[in-house]
Amino acid sequence: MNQKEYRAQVDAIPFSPDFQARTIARLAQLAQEKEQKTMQKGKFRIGLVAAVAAAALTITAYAAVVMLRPQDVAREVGNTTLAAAFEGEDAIAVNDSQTVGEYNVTLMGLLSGQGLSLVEGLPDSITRDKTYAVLAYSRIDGDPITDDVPQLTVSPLVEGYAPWEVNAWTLEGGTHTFAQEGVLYYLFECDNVEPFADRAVYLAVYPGTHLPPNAATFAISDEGHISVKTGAEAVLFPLPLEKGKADAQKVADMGFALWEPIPEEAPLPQGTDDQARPQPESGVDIQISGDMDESFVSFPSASPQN
Amino acid sequence: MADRRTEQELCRVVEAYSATLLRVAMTRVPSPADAEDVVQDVFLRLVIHAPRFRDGEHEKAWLLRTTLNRASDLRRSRRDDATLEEAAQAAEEAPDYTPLLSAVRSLPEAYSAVIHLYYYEGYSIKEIARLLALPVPTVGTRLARGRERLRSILKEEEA
Repeated sequence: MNQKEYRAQVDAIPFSPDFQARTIARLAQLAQEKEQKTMQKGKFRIGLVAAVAAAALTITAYAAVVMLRPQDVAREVGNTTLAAAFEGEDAIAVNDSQTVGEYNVTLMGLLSGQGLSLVEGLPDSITRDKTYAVLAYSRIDGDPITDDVPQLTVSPLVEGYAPWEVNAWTLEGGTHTFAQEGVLYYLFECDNVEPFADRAVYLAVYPGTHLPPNAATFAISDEGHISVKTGAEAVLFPLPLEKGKADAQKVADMGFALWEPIPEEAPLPQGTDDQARPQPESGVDIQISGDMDESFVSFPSASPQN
Repeated sequence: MADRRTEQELCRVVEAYSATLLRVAMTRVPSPADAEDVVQDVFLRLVIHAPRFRDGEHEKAWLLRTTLNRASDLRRSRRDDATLEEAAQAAEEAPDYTPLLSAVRSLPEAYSAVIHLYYYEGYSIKEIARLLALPVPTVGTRLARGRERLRSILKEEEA
């Protein structure tokens, strides 16, 4: 192949001379619109944490093309009971999308209830009371996801409790994942988070494979507000739970310790504030639960720290 | 947490990559106007999704891969939507490219991208592998097969 000739032929392609100027003008306009939208979206969210019916307002214009519905995802992993429940009145459609690294993550829907887990038939008639969340991941560069499962972790976080105190590990979390038509679907389940509904409850998505939430990524203020640390790559989806379902007794029974900031005058044992706080062990091995199909990945359980 | 790109940064990205991305898009779409649509769409995605890049290489790789994906999408949608008559008319109206360029454009997508990045942009096989997130041997094979096909296409045209 004659490289010189090929280059000359490509260089002769007549592109518009004003392409760059037009593009920059359009991008500047879009960036401005996006900034305004972000500000409006922030305002909506403050007022909508408990407003289930209006939660659809948080749908972004740029949500990934998600082919399946939450009930389809539940059916696909073999849980027909959960699939039927996602078609009922108790299911909450969220459809909120955010970007984490190279992925567009959509929280599609949410459901809480008893007797819906694949792991039923436990001794002493124990019925699992769980929250289920369906998420979809797509690559923002348009490459399909096939077997390259995104290295992302999902965990609930609750205002007033340290992220390393109440999370997927301490709430007996587990996941099912599968890829279809370039989209990775993720069914997450954990102990029912509705008893915490009088607080802001989030579903956090952040880089790492089964990495418990830690102080490098999340911050908790003295008042117990949870946020993503500046420079950390993580997103928080506020869960639109019904405040009426809050149950202080159930929360107390779970035995989690409320967040207590370390007083300023207290000596810090290891130099920094973050290091001094209790944190779960990171990089814990994944456990495959024996009483269900192998695609279910459970989070290793950890006792609440008192 | 999405990065918000400043206007200055957007200018830098557009000025630095427009020419390369337009040329790459042309390996898959029928006209310069289509290539401009594709590349503008890629830059819009950059603003909308605000992906975080580790470094300049990562940024370039993302832009190139997204351009190739969007160009394929556009080509597919045109092919799927067009009636036979429209397709015939589009073929008649298509710019008359020189033989070598036409031959590269007629290659399967997997080959044309590698051939273009190697012969026009001057990337090595290793660099192309990094940019397209492919194994090095795969890029080598595509380059060799692409060259073979080009040779036979050009021979047929000469005959």
